[in-house]
Amino acid sequence: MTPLNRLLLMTVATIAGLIGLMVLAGPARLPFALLAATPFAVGIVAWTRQRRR
Amino acid sequence: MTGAATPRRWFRVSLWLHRWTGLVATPFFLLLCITGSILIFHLEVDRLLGDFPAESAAAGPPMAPAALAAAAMAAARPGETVQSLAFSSALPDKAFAGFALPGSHALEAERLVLLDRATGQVLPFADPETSFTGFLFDLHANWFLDVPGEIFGGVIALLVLVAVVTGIIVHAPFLRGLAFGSIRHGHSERRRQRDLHNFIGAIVTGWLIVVCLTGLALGLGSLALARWQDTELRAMAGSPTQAPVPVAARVSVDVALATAQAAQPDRDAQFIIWPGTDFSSPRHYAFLMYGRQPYNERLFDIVLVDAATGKLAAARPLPTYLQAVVLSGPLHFGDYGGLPLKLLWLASAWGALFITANGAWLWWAKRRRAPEAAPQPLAAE
Repeated sequence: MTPLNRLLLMTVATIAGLIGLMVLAGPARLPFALLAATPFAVGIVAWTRQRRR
Repeated sequence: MTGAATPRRWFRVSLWLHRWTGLVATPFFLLLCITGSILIFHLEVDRLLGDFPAESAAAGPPMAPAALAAAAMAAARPGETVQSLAFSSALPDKAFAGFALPGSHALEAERLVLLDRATGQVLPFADPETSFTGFLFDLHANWFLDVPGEIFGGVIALLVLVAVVTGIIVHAPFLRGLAFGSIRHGHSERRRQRDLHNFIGAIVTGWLIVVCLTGLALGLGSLALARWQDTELRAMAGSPTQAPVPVAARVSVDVALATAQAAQPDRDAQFIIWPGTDFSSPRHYAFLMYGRQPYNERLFDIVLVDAATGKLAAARPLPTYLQAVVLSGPLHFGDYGGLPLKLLWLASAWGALFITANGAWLWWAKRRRAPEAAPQPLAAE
């Protein structure tokens, strides 16, 4: 996956998660919260892997 | 124009837009990030400062609006009457009563009093105009300039949105050949800062797009509301020359509420507005009926009830442009998913704060150094 595609995917995942959490999720908010937090999780993993190298 | 020249020209236009929209917006956006970071936790801050009472268990079933309005009169100043009652699903045990002097029609100008919804007791509550978070909110939402300030905030949101979108175009090619999250050490400080700019920028891009789009919608919210009041609300209320219903001849607000509730049985009235305001009409009570489902708990229909007869006058959903404004509120402030979402919002705001400041620094550091060639999109250094 190219960097641009990854960036766009993360962007779309964030927007979908934030809107989905508000409009659809109700009490079952966890899946949407996880979707919204995906870019942060990816960032943290990338950061720690890079630090280890 | 050749096929190769077009992407290059597109890149240069994007670079120019990214640099200058970002730089122009920087001082304002930094302030918005800082004030926004605090406003995410406004209720917690208000409680910490004693501006809002602590959460408590409901003392009993909620009082009917007429009784609640009568209880609120204990806090009325001479000449004031209750003009509105507001409830919130986030604070089910509380209600806000809005007081206005006779002849005052603007709902925005009313004085708010906080009530216990079960007992009608007036609770200590700092006026949002004078509280710390109220000060921050005015700074964040309208720069103390009311509607012109809101529009200015919308312009800043638009500038940041352009900077984010062009940032994708400008920075993505530089990441080619680099593992995601790579921060190259052992080179120049500028390169390290640019790697950080790209890395954190990639993480907060989606959040920034959401916050900027909703900020833009909120910035135009007052204009949209004024348009709705001038068009749809007037059409719902009927002839603008109709005579006001004298207070003594009005049906009780409880009767009017029963009519509104019967018209919208699957919704709850969370905002009740007495006749004679800019959100009702001289002869109608207005009720904002909120949905009970996750997808419509933030959206409301407007119901007008004739104050003379207690009969239903009109019931309509909000027009699409106002629904967009209403839904922009929670998406902008991140107050719809509890503490985890607030923390996510805080982290994103700080990430945005960082890339804004470090983007300005990157520009400054480049200017300070000897002039160098313009960045080439495919040169991954």
